[in-house]
Amino acid sequence: MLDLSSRWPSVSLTRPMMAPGLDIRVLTGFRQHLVSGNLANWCRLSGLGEGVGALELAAGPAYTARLASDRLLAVDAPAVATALGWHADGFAVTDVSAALCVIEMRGENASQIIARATSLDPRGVSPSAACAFAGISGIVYRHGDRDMVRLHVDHGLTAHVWMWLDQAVSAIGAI
Amino acid sequence: MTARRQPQGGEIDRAKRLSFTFDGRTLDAYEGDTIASALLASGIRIVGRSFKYHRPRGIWGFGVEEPNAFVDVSNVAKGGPNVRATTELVRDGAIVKSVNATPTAAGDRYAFIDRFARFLPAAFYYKTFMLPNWGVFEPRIRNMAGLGVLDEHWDVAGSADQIHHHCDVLVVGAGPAGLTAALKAAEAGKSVLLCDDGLRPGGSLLHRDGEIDGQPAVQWVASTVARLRERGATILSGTTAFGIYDHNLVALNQRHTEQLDTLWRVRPGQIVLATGAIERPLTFGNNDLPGIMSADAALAYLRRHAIVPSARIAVMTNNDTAYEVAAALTQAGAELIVVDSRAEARIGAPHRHEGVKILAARHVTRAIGRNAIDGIELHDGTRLEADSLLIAGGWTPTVHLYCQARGRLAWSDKLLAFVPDADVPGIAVVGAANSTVGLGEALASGARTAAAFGGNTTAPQSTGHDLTLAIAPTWPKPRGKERAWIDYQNDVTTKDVELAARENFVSIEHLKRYTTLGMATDQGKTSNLNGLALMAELSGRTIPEVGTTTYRPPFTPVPFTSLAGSSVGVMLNPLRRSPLEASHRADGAVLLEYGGWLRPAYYGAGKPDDEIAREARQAREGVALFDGSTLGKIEVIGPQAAEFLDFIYYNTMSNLNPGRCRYGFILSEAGIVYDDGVLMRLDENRFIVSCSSSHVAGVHAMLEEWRQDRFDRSKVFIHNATAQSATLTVSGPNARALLETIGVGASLDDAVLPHMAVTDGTFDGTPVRVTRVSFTGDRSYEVSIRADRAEALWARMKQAGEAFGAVLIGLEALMILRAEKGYIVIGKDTDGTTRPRDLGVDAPLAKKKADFLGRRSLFTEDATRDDRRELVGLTVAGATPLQTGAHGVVRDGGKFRSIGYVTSSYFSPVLGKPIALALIEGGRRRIGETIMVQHLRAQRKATIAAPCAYDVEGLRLNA
Repeated sequence: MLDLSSRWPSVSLTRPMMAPGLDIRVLTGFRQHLVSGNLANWCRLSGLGEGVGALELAAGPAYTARLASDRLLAVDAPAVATALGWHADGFAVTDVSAALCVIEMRGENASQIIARATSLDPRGVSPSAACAFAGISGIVYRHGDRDMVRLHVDHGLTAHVWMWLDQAVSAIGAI
Repeated sequence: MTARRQPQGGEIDRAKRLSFTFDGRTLDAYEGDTIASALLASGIRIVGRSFKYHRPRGIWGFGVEEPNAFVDVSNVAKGGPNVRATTELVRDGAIVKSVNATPTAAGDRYAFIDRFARFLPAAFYYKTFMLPNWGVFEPRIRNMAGLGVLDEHWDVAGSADQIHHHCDVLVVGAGPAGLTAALKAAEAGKSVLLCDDGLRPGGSLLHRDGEIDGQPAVQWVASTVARLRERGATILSGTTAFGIYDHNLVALNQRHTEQLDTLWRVRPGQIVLATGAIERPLTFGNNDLPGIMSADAALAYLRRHAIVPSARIAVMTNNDTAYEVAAALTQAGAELIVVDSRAEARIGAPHRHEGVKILAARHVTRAIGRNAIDGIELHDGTRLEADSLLIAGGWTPTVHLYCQARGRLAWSDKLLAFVPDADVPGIAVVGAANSTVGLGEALASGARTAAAFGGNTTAPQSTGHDLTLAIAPTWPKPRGKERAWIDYQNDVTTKDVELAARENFVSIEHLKRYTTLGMATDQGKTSNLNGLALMAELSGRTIPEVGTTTYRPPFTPVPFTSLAGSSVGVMLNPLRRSPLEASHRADGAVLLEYGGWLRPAYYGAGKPDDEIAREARQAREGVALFDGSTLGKIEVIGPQAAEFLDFIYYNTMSNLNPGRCRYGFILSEAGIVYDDGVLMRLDENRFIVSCSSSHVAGVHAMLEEWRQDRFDRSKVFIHNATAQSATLTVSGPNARALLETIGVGASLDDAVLPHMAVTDGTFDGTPVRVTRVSFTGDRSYEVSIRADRAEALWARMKQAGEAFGAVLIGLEALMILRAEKGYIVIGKDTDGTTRPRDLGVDAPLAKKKADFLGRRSLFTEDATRDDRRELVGLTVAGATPLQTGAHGVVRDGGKFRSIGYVTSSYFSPVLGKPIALALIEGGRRRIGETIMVQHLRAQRKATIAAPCAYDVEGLRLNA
C-alpha cells in the first residue's frame, strides 16, 4: 500500500516566510464569524461596516470583509453581535474562528503575490473580498496600509497555500 | 559556397565565444547568436527534415514565422523539444539536435521516403491502411509522425511563473508603430505594457533602413525605449502574445533562457496590435531546398548577426522591398542578381544599387540542387548559378490576434493580402498589420491611437528613404511539372491542393483538414495565402471568395509548463489536511488520499493487512479512536431551514426534535443517491448537515443553489463550517467509559443521550458537541471541538484510552467495521444509477408528503423496474475475500451475463471469514441463492445474504 506521507510533507506554519520586500506569516487569535442575512441590522448591532471588498483597505482591530450581497466575514466583532445561530433581526451567525487561517503578506512585494495568486486589478477594488487565490477560495483585502494584505483560507488547505506561497516567493526572487 | 560571418558588425558580443553541438558536431557561436544564426554562420545548411517526405530543410525566417528550423535542445538549464531555432539564443554547452532526422539532418536515413512521394499524396492515410484495419498500422505511423522527441526522463525542475497584469494600454509589437503607440499612451499618463516576440524591442527598425526625426532608426528605438521606461512602462522582449480571449484578456508567453517561461494574463483597457507583417514565399519547383530564404530574414541576419548567406545570391521578388536587401548584401560583398517578375518600368525602388544585376519580367520556375540550392532556372529556360535564393513574395499582415478577437478581414489590392476591416471594440490595429508599408505611415498609424484617450497624435517623422511596395500578383500555379511547396512545415505541395480541389474539398476549412495546410506549430504564417490563392485559381473564385480559415490561439506554441504554472506535482490537486495531521504522523500513520483529504490509512510499521486487521479486531474488543474531522459540517440556519431540509433530503427532517439526529439520503434531480449522512438539529432554526467527507463542496454548492432558486433567501442560510471543528470519534464497548474518564461536560447516560442524539459539553473550558451516531455498529460518540484545540483532546483520549484497550484506527479498518454492519459508502457501494429503493429504503417515498429533490425521478419506468440492482451481502467459502469489482454472472443464451458486481469486500477479523457487499439484480429476492462471481475469467460461488453480517440485532449500539 502506498504511503503518501512524504509526497505530501508536513508543513510548518510557525516560521515566517521572508524575502526582499516581503514578509509572510500566519496570524492567530482572531475571532471570525460568518454573518448572512440582513446585514444592515447586524451592522447596527455590531457597530461595524458592511465589509471591505477585495484589496480594499480595512482598518482597526475589528472590521468586516464582504463576501456576497447578503454575507460578510466579521473579524473580532463584539460578542453582542456574534451569538451563534439565527437572530430575530434577520441574520445568521456561525463561528469560523478555527476554520479560516489568516495569512498576512507585508511589504512592497505583496502586490507581486497578488498578481500571481489572483486576477484582481490592484488599481481598483471589488465589492466582494471573496476570490480565487492560488486556485482555491480565499478572502483577500488590505489591512492597515496598502502594502499589507491579509488572506483568509480554509484551514485544511493552509498547507497547500503555504507551499504555493513558497514557490511564488522563489519566482519573485528570481525576477 | 555557404554563409559566412563578416569580421565586424551585428549585435553579437564577439568577446564572448560560446560552444555548442548540432547533431553531434561542435560549433562556435557568439553571445547574442540565436541557434539559427549560429548554424548559418557555421555553414550548416540542412537544419532539419520535413514532416512527411523527410526532405532536407534549411532556415527560412528570422523569427516566429520560421517553419523549418526546429530543434531539440538539452544539456542546459532550460531545453526542450521542438524549440524554434530562430528565437532561441545559443547557450554554452547546449546539445542541439535536429528534428525528424535519424541520425542527423544531413544524413537522415529516412530520406528515401521522398522517392515514394507520389504514393504519399495529401490524405493518403485516409485511403490506404484500410485492411485489415487502421489499428495495425497506427502505432508505427504515430511513431514516425511528429517532429521533436520527448525526453522520457525529463522531470520538471520547479514550476513556471504565471502573472496577472492589469494596464491601461497593452501594445503588442515593438516596431515603429508599436513603439510610437506605446510612447503616446505613456506620455498621456497611461499605464503601458509593451511586448514583442523579438529578442529586443525595435522590430523591423533593427535591420531595415530608416531615419526618424533626423536620427537613425536604431537610435530612435533606444531613446523611445528609455523614455517608456522613464514613464514606468513595462517592456517585455522575447514575449509572444499568443491569444486574445473573452473580454479582451490577452495571454502572453515570455521566454527565458535559464528558467521556465512565464505566462502573463493581461487585462488591458485598450489593446494596440502592432504585430507587423510576415514575408511570403513564392512558389516554384523545389522551392523548399536549403539555401532558399526569406529576403527580409537574410537582411536581418546580415544587419543583426553579420552573416552573409553565401557568395552568389539570387533574389526573386514581385515587389520593391527586395531591393534594400539586394543593396545591403551587395555592399557586403556578395555577387547578387535580382529576378523581378514585374516589368522593368515598375522598378523604381530607392535602394537600387549599381552592383545589383536585375532581370525584369522574369520569374524562377525551378530551384536546382539536391540537398541545397546551387542554381535556379527561369521561365525562359535561363539557368543561373546561385548558392542562395532569397524570396520577397510580398507581405502578409499578422492579423491572428485581431481575428481571434472576431475582427473581420477585407482584401487589399494594394498589399495583395487580407487586412483588418471593421474595428473591434477596445482594439486598434496599426502599422504593417494594418496595411501600412512605409515607415512614415507606420509611425503615423501608431500615433493615431492616442486619440482614443485624448493623447497627442502628432507622429514622429520618417526623415529618410521610405519603403514602397508596388507589388504584382505572383500566385502559385497548378499543373506544374515539379513539386512546389505551399506549406513547408506540413509538406503540402501545389499538387496536394490540386488533389483536394479534384476531390471537392474546396472549402478552405476542408482544404486545411484534408491537406494539413496551415496546421501545426507555424499555423500557416508563411503558407496560408498561397494556399488560398491556388484554391481560388483551381475553383474559379477570387481569393476573398475563398476566404480564410478561423484563427484560433495559440499564435505560437506555448510550453505545457507555462500553461500549467504551479499546478504540477503535489500542487496539481491540493489535498486538505486534518487538524490532527502532526499527531497522526507522530503515531506512525500511513497516509493516503481519501476524497481530497490526506488521512491515515492505518497505523504501524507492520504488514498493512496485519495492521488493519489488528485495528479492526481491537476496535470491537475495546475502544477505537478515529479522526472523523473530515466529515462535513454545513450549517443550515433560519426560520425556513426545516422546510428547506425537507426538500433537500429524501427523508422527512422537519419533525426532527432539537438535540436529535437522523440519517438520510440526498438525491440528485435524477433521483440518484448523491450523498448520505446525519442531520443534527441544534435548535428550532439551526441544523448541521454532516455529509460525506468527499462531498462537502458538492453538497454545499447544491444546498446554496436550491436555497437561492426555491426558497426565501432571507429565511434560510447555508454556512460551511466543516473546517471549524475537528471530530474525534470514540467507538466500541468501552467508548462511554473512556469519555466519562476524560470528562466532556455532558451526561452520557443513555436516557439523556441516546443513540442519534446530540448535546453540548466542554473539554478544558472549550465547548464541544457530543453526538451519538455510529458508523461501526458499536456504541459510538463523535466529539467535535474547535480545530485548533483538537490536539489536546486527542492526546487526552489516547492517554486515557490506554486503560480501556484503545486503538487508533485508520480508514481501512473503519471500512471493515462498517462493511460488517452493511453500512454503505456513497460512490463505493452505490453508483450513478443507484436509487434509495435499491438500498432498501422505501418508506419516505411512500409516506413523505412534502416534495423533495429527485422525487419525480423515482416514478419513472426505469426507477420502478423490479430487476434493478439492489444492495446485498455475499458470503463465500474459504478465507479469501472476493475481488472488489468482480461481477456476479448468470449464463444467458450460452454466454455469461453480468447481474451486478461486488462493491466492497474484506476479510472480517471478528467474524473470521470474508464479507462482501454487492449490487445484484433483484438482489433482495435472491437472498439465499448461490451465484457465480467472476473475476479475470476465474469464477467462484457466492451466496447472496443480507448486507449486515455482524450483530444483526444491533445490540452493540448500546452495549
